[in-house]
Amino acid sequence: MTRLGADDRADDLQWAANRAINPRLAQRGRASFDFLAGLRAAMNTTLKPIIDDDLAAAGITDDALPDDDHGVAAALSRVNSDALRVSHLCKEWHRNNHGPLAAEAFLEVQDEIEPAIAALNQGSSVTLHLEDHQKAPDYWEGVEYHRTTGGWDAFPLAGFVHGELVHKLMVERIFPGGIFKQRLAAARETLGNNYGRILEMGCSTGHFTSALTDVYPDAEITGVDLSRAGLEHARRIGNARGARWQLYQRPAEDTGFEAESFDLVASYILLHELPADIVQAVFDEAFRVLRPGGDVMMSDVTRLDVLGKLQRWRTLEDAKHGGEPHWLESAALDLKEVAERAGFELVESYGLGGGPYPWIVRGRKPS
Amino acid sequence: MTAGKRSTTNMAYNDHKVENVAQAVLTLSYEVWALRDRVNTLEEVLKEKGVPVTEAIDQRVLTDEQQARRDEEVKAFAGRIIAALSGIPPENPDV
Repeated sequence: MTRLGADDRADDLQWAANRAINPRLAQRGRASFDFLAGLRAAMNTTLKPIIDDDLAAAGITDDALPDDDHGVAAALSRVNSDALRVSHLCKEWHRNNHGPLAAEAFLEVQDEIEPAIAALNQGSSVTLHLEDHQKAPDYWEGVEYHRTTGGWDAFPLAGFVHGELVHKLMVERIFPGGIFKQRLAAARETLGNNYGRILEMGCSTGHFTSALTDVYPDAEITGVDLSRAGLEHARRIGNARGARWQLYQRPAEDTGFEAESFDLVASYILLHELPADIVQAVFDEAFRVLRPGGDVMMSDVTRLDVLGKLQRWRTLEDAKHGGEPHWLESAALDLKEVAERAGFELVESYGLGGGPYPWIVRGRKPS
Repeated sequence: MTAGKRSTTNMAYNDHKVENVAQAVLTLSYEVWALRDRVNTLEEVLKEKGVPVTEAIDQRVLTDEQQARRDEEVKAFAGRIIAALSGIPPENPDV
């Protein structure tokens, strides 16, 4: 048996990365993502202006709407708008079908790219500690986040399908500006600019972990997440770039790491997936594991209190029907208060670049 | 307190049957798109390989036999859709 030398192994990983990361789909799979992205684009260009006109004609404005969410929803339910109904219809079709179509697109090319996936699984730079014998928290177990049938761990390669296909070929196209550019920008929002040991909470499929590595290339990075499939794909992403990450299947609010063992704790769009009491527990845990003088930087969805009433209603409707059971209570939190309650100082809470999304909260543990 | 774990579906119309038909129209739209994309791709591939078929397809005149076969096929195709919309379950083909 021939043993692979270091150069051979590097070539092997490069071959695997070229094949499995950003994979080339078959015609039907490509057409599926074109349709999923095109449908959302058509909704924005065709339906939204008509809906805006219909709402204005019905006297629905932020000034005219009541202050409570129930009253706003009741007022909107009385609007007779065909375009609004079609919008609901298209969103519902999108939620129901994006997961199965993505899985179908993957199945078309699975045989072709599975050897590359296997090679990335066996890369040696990332260490993955699976602890799925532990009981998952109640707030996570059984939740079909983002209307994924069966949840994040529905099938063994679900992390690959979501990380490589759904995020890159659908979400990235639907939200211009780039969710990957946003990750990089968020990683740069820390109070300091040099960290030796970084903990990422909710590292999912490793794309924000990559952004942290890009910004802090010399840091030792540790990631925690609950999803086995997500972590397994993060391992592939890390191995593909030769990153030396330590990944653990653990909840962010109870990482089990030694106190004062990190210089920075960071997360990207994790908090809205957690109930309010767990968000507080996550900040408490971040405070515990940071060394005195260490920094925290969490990014998340727009705070509900900065949205106008109509936009708030749209956001809550999307969350209610879109597999986001904790969004309402989590996005209603004042993250500055949460961070200060945990003990952080120099706390700032703001929208990145002056915009509403993503929302950043950062601070420092007192020295 | 933690909210319910499962999202509620968002009905656009206050009638399940109307909702199902409307969802089916979107599913068919997707299938039409995937096929249209495939036909476009097929024509592009053939042209690149020196077989320009687009004009030939447009100018194609079917023989009587071919037209008769198309007539049967489209009748069966339309019949399946009408049956589904009428609530008539599909039957197994003769095998």
